[in-house]
Amino acid sequence: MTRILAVDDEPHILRLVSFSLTARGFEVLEATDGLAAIETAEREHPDLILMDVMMPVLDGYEACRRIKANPETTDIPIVMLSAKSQKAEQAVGLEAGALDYITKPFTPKDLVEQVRGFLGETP
Amino acid sequence: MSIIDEGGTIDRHEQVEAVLRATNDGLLVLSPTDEITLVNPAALQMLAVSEEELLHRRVSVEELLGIENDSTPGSSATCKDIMDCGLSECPAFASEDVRCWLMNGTLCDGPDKPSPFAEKQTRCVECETHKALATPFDPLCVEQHDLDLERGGQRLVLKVRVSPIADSRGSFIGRVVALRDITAEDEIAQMKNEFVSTVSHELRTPLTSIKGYVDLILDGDAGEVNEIQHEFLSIVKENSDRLVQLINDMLDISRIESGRVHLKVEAQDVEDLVAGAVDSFRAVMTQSGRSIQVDVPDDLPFVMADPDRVRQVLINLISNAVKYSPQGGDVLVAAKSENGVVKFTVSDEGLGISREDQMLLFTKFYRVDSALTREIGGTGLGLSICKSIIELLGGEIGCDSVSGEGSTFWFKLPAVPAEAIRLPQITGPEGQEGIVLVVDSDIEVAALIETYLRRRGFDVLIAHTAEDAMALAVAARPDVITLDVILDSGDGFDLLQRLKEHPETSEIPVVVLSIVCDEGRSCRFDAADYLEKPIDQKRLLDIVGTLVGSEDSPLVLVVDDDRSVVSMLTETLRRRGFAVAKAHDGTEALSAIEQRRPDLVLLDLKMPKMDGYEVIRRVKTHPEWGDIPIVVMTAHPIDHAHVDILAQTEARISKPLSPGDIAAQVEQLLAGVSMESEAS
Repeated sequence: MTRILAVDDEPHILRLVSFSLTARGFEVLEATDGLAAIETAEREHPDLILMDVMMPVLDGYEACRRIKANPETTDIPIVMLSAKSQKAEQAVGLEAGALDYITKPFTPKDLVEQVRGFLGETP
Repeated sequence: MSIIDEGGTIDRHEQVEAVLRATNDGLLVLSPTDEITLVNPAALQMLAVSEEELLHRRVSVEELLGIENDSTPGSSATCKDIMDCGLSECPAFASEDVRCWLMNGTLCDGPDKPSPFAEKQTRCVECETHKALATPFDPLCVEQHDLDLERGGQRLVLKVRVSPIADSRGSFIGRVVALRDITAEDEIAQMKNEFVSTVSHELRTPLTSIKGYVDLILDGDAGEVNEIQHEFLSIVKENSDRLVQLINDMLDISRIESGRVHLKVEAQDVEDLVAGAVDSFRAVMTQSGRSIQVDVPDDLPFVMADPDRVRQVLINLISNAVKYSPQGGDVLVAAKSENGVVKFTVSDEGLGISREDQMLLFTKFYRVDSALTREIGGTGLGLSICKSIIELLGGEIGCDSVSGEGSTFWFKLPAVPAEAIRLPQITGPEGQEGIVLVVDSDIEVAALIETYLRRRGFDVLIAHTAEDAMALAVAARPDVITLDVILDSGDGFDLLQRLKEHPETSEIPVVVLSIVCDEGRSCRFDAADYLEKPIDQKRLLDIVGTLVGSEDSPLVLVVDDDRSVVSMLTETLRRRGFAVAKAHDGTEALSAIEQRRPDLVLLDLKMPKMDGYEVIRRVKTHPEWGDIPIVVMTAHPIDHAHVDILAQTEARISKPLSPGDIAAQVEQLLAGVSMESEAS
């Protein structure tokens, strides 16, 4: 089963992402800050990471950079999921090595479709 | 010492000096040759220099303030250069030219042509070429700029105003530079901006939950929803969407107002701008059974604008036109050229807007109050954003409407003078581009096509009958033939068939022009392309240009869903002597390759219908196309899931693109290809 690591410090949003993906057949791993995300990525090697930006301990940009810098995890695609909607902010995420940027709020259906697209699965 | 003498008269000179010393704003006076002749204490303090360091030095305003002149190479050209390159037909260059004087120390027409400075200045500043090429601190204009400086470890924001000054006879005697410290105001504006940005982020987070869970319930993910629950939840969804829009608009307006919006202003093709905006409504309109009419002539000048922002304005206006004409009716999007500007209009057949409402439409949060507007919803910020954008771009926006008869929203953007974007190759006097044989029984139409083609530098031969055409084709071996299939002397398709069967002419590409839509037949007879009358000049030149290049210039296929990227690259590549074919998505790209095999493909990755990865896969696995080099252009870091596919491409370029770099890369790759084939 395709495994996705969802990272968000907001429990309601984390549950929303998890639920939407689980309901459509994905296995979802969860982390609530950047550091936990890095650890889970190294341990579980998920197929895709959905990463919030503003988080305690370690923010999403830095977590993304570190995951990309580690040869063990560098091939895991990361998609930023953030309330920061401005282009300049999105550029920071892409520079950090993210594959794409999804702006909050999002529609669960669109999120799942996009995730499938990133994984190269046809909906 | 008193400046009032015993008789009570004031010493003017001393009075002026005293006033300058007491002024809070910094003031500098420059001579016509940029020598600093006067500086007041406030200016010295702001610039953190002593009077000795400044006075009588020759220094440009840019140098003085330590700013880089980031203007384009063309704009830093001196008056003489501009004249020499033939770029300008500025009336002021030809007569009494104040710019010549300022830049070269001479007047174009010699010193014996007196004319008041103010008059010359007006003429120069009004000149279109000047407008297009103006530098940040143009000596002819009153210019105002905000500068963010660092002085002694402290941030200093200055509003700099540079004004030319003239003596009582109207002669130019230099410039005054006024400096105002606006650091405090700027900081407040920044705080406001940060506040809006933070608030918007904080609002987005709870909204994500509200919207997300409602969507899940509505989609049936949380079990069955009965009809009334569905209705109520739909209302929640609609209003949360509205809140999201409001937040986006608020952010947008705050950025525009604080000047933190970075516009990329470039010469834009009006047709592309309109097409891009109208395209996004196609699905909606088809569903509702209505249509958007477009009326944009091909011969419009380019406009100076940021394409994304203009599209945003057009989309906003079109969306309003659709929303507020509930009883249906078409929407017309048009553009026309008038007095140095291009006027865009979006007209609907809706309810119309009263005169009182028209006055207030563009103010923030103003919404026409009616049952309809209450039902439709909206933020009341859209038009205000449009106004800010258009004004930032140096344009004007407005609305004409009669209650009950529909409304027309319009905006005007400055046109780019043809001289400023005309490319030397295109205006080339000789037929370096090739020979085109125009076959048309209508003398006037043939003459029109000839004009179009000659203007572009082609040599043109004309035949009015099939016999003449055949004879000329064999004798002159043109690079391209344009053929009207309705010939007095017989069916044009017969001629086409004869041309294709004759060994001397069978390889010459033929473009079929016709008032009868008969594309299928043209294809069967192996026409290279097909064009319906009335002739679209731009398409004709595009087609002929590509075909003429077909014999010796390598063909580059440019694929990108962003039309402005495609037109930018097309222009750059054509200028470098490549033939160019265009496609706007993956499927178009494949059919273009099928039509004519390109020597190289420039490929965007993210595109609708079929993305770039799929194009690469199909091209690289195709038995005949596998060796066509592909250069990938992408705004995103490489997708690791697709690394294998990307590894098959010849090069990758990241966006934002520099057209020059791309052309250089294309040249390099194609040079490699031809060398390899020679070697083998």
